[in-house]
Amino acid sequence: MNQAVLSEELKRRVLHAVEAAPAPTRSAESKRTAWLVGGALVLSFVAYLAYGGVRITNRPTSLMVGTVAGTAIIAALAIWMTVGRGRAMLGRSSSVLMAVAIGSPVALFAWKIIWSAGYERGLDRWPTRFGLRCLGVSLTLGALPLAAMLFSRRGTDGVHPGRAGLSIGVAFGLGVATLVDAWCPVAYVPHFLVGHVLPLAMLGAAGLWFGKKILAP
Amino acid sequence: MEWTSIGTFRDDAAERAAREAREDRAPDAEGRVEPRSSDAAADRAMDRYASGEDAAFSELYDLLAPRLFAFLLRTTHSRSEAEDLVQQTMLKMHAARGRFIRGAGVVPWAFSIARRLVIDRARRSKVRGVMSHPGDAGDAIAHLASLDLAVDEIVHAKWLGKLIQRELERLPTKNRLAFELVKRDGLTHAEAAKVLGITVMAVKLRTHRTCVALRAALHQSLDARDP
Repeated sequence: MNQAVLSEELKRRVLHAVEAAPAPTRSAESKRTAWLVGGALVLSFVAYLAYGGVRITNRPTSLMVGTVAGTAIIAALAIWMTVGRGRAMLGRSSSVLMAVAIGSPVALFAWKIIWSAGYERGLDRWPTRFGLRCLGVSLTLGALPLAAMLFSRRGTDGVHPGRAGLSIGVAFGLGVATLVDAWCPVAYVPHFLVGHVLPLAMLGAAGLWFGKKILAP
Repeated sequence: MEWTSIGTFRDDAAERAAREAREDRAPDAEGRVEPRSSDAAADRAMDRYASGEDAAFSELYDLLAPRLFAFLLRTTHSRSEAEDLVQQTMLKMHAARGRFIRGAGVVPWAFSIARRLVIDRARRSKVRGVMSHPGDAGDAIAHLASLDLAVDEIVHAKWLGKLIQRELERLPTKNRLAFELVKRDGLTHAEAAKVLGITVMAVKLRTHRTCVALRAALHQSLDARDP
């Protein structure tokens, strides 16, 4: 093994710099993260309630429960795959992160269409509902938790910060999609693509951009 | 450039087997690979430091900085730049100490930070540093002198070191990096895969290809030297 000789002066310089700028310990950082991410989630949920919360409207309850449950499972899996790192600082491999970023929106779309198609008028055309309102609600609800999560991970991913940010953005978008699914009864395909799938791509793109800036050491 | 693993390329089966046994540690029943003692010590030091024991940072520095320096020196070819990057890497680790996961391995994480800093610096300057620092040769000579070898062995070792370095420089960067992380920096295949963001199989393949290329080049050069 190549053990080049380092000067003592460098060590003194590093130790001096460390003393001059103390960093929070793990317990302090954990508390801060809990407050930050927890606060962001609570604020998002309050905003969701302000938009009206769960709305069954005239759709069958089993239709709503089925779509929400399926979305929730996909979201939980995506969040577990991207946010969970086990006992490793470098997280999942790039291929896993990309599989989540690409595969989970496809899974969401497929589930919504397949489940809704099983009901009479489940895929009714709603030409007047472009999905812009759902798009706005999704972005409003998803932005703050995503920012909090990226901030709580700042400076820790030296391998694939962009991809990690992208997949976390998509996963948080899926979490929001669960709430929006319980709020919006429309399964019209163009509406669903604009209002429910496009936000995943937009939050993912935001995660990609901010991930490169924030997650990279 | 210092090269202390010349023995790997000599026809010394026992030494090679011992080295491989050290590096290719077998996984246990649960698939975990037992970390080498210095890695385990570094993990413990980082864990203590993250928990608030400030004195552990000095220990962590002693365990990690020389390995990072060797890696960065080979990557940047500049002693001053490598020292600067060691400092930055250690400070980044310090800044993120509260976010260090309990029980995580610190060595691959440290190497990934160092590698990211090198990439960022190269992107900023748009020029890859290729100059050699005079201090490198001095270090190598001092090291060889400390081994108490005969003069002809020192000359041979220096020649071999330069030859290996020259052949390594000719190889694709991705192959060379994987080879150096495993064979020179002592990371396991799994750790190198984490640092490079590729699969373990890809690391093994790249390392193997580099070994094959080096072996062929060495045979050719040795045959030409001693017909």
